[in-house]
Amino acid sequence: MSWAWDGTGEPDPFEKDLADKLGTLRYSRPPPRLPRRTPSPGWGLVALAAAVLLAWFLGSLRTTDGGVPVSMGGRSAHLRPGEWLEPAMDATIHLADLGTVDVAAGSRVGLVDAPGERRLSLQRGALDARVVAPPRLFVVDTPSTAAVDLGCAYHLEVDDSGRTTWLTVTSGAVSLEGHGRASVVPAGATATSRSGLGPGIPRWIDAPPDLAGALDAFDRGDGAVPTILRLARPQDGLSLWHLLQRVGPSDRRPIAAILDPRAVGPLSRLDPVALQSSFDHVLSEAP
Amino acid sequence: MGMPDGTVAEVNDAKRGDEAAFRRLHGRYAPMVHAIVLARVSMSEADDIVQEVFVTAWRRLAELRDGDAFGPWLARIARNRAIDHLRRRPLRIVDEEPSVAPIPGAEAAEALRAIRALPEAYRETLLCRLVAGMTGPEIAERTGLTEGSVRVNLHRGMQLLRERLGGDR
Repeated sequence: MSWAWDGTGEPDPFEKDLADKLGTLRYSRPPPRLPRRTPSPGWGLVALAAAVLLAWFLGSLRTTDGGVPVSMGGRSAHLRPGEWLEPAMDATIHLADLGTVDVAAGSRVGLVDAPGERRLSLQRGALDARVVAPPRLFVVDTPSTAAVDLGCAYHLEVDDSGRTTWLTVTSGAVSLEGHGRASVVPAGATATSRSGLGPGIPRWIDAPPDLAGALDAFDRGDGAVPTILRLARPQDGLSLWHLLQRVGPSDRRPIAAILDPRAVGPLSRLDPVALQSSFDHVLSEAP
Repeated sequence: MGMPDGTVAEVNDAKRGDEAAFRRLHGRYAPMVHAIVLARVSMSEADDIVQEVFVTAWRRLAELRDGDAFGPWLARIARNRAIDHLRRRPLRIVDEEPSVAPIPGAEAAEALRAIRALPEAYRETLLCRLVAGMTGPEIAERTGLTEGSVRVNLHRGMQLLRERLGGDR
């Protein structure tokens, strides 16, 4: 992603072509004529007063019905369990002491009645969650998976058909769970979940396209382990760690040998202590 | 977060009425403002709104206490101004470019439509990169986003565009 990031390195042809086309729209007007400044009527104080009022209003909303405040474009609403939010503009769900969830315009998000935890359902669209709660108190269901917060910030997106969910984590970690499997997605990584298949193998966001394609093929049941091992970079332990636990015993040794040559045996047996130690090392490889 | 060299001094000069300093700020930040506005409004309307954003910023510059925060502050004004503009328009289900507007190129218009169909978080970052020509670090520095968020937005946004515009993986 080097060229897309800072313009260095060999440009990807698709991205370069996009930049060439869209660069023709670059802004080139001169600065506007500047008016005389008139004394401010204290807009800062007005804005502060409005913020205080909004904060009071949001805090005063009764949540004995299990509902949560929602703000959108300066207006407020209340989302109760069983209700759905389909905002025409970007909106924010306030989860009291758990954090906030920004919901993209055009999404469909519901509040689920779930004692002991805060649970949303994202049917389509996208949300960005910033959660400060202890792990596993906040969950977002999508049609193909459940995103269990482990203390983090992340972006979650569901396509219009509801069949595909994409998760990208920007801080902390999220566990994607479903169909009897879990994918632990740390900061700097992304994962896809598909209906009928559950959470796919996570990969770092800078994973090469051919490796990502090989992992996607494996998730769909078409892929070959040797291909993945050939394409994996030294820093792709995150993907290999998950792959290790999704193949049969006879396929584990070559994967384990890459993850940790000193622990091939324990990793091949999926020894919990060896797996935890290996995952700790994987986290140090985040881009 | 550190602003590019000169920004803080120019903000302070502009606060004291130095129009030349403000024009230099315009030169540096107008592409970012344009990208943010273009993420929400049509090409034909974006340029005028950019001008309005800078007039507003000039008028309200005294409210900005920390010159280091000029970029994110300006970005907020741009978003709010674009949203205000949309609110005054009649409700539309499909946001299409007006047929009377000049279209620099059909391919550019198609790419812009694809970007504006993406989730909001990706639109601004992609337009800052692809229209304004800003690098990832510049986008983070001027908008106030973390480099991590910018990196995610660029990566995922490009991936979605590739799927929707039919680029090869």
